[in-house]
Amino acid sequence: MQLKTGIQRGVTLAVTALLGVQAGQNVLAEEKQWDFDSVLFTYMEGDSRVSDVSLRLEAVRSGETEEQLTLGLSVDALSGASPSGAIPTHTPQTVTTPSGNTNVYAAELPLNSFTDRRIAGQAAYLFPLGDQNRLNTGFTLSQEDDYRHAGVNASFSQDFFDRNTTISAGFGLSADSIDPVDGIPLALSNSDLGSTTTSAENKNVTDLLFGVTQILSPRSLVQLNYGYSSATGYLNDPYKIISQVNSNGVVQSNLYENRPDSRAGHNLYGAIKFDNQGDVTTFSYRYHSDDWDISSSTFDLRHRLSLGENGHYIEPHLRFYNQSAADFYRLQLPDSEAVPTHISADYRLAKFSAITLGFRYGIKGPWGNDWRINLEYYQQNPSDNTSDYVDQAGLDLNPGVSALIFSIGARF
Amino acid sequence: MKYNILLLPVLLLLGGCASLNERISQTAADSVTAATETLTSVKPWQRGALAQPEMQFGYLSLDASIDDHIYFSKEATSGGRSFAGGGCGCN
Repeated sequence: MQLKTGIQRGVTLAVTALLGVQAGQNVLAEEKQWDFDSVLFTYMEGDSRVSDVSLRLEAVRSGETEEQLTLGLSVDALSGASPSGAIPTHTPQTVTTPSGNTNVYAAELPLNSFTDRRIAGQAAYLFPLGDQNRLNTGFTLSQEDDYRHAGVNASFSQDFFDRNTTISAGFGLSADSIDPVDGIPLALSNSDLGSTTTSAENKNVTDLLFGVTQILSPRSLVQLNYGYSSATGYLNDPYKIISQVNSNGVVQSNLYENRPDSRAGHNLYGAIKFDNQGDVTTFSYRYHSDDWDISSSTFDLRHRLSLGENGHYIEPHLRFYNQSAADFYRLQLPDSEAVPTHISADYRLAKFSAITLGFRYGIKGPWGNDWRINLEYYQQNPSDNTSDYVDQAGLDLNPGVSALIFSIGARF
Repeated sequence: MKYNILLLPVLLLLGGCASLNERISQTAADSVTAATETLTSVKPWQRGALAQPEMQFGYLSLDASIDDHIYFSKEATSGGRSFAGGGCGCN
């Protein structure tokens, strides 16, 4: 459509200017087409915890061949508070972490307040290597106030049997740097004493991914992936602590957590899609297992119901997740017990289940573009949130997380 | 049938809307038919439905990457669909 082309030309000029495409590289004169996708979303947790406002942009340049360039940019503004790992008490307490001293009301979960900004960019290039195979290469970069990430990835895919079957193999390498403003805390030290080192710590992650996509029928296809991930280096969360309690459950001190310096895990993932005269059902399942003794299952179901010729659709979404606890996870530590080498009270390493209910509505815009809005509710339900200690009666030691996610997206 | 069981939550979500329920019932029946079609080589000219954007596993990849990022921040396991990755000191 002419108007859409005009919009695309305008946005193309703006994006190429932003991306620093040199003068003389007239992308509009080539037989290439830019497609753009953008999402503005908000993430809000209950009880005034974490909130995130984020903008994601993606530009894809494609031509008559399978050659394709993808560029992405995302900006996040985060604020709020997340659980420190310390337990609530029946009396007011002051909890010290690298975020500073926090005065906590009776029966209230100790939280770390924070503000952070994150900017991330990525680029990927898909090279056709012939009629049946392709090489996809890419890199990712991100920067937060206290965290930096750089990564590269590559994958090769080949079609078989008249393109009914595609196999792929790829790897990703990333090098991250963790640099809290007040330094890295000394693992297992008393957080009230504020023992920190000043140097940044590093984390490296290697990912391998193998996959098969198979067309089952003119209206269905399936995907199976195996993924291996290995992380080494500083895997602690520098802001997390764990409470040491006496025989009545009264907090005596808080210690910085300490996790193993390596983690290796496996993912098995399967997804299937069905088309039913324009309505599309997508179901996926993932099983994860790793050497921190965490295993998880994730079920995800979407059903896209077309509402007519004008491109309107609705898409309900249901996701169910459950995980076991890391073998070094503890809600708290009795002070009569020797401090283990590895210990964490991070609620994300606990045993819990989570459910997501979502709903998307999509509509074709007047100029050939399309819009979508998405509303999701996420609820995490920990299995272990009470204790038998006298002084902790009636306290919710791990209340879980609930969050509302709203996004609006546009493609043109 | 197993597939009908998987569709049950969707039916419940949309309960109360009679016309939608009829659509979903039809959809469920069509899905079973599609699933039981023989696993033979599908010719290029038979791939009209498969060529639709929403039938690609990478459909709305931007939305999928946002979901992955949120779950990576709040849960202990990630990846599967793509690299487990990381790249954030998520709060």
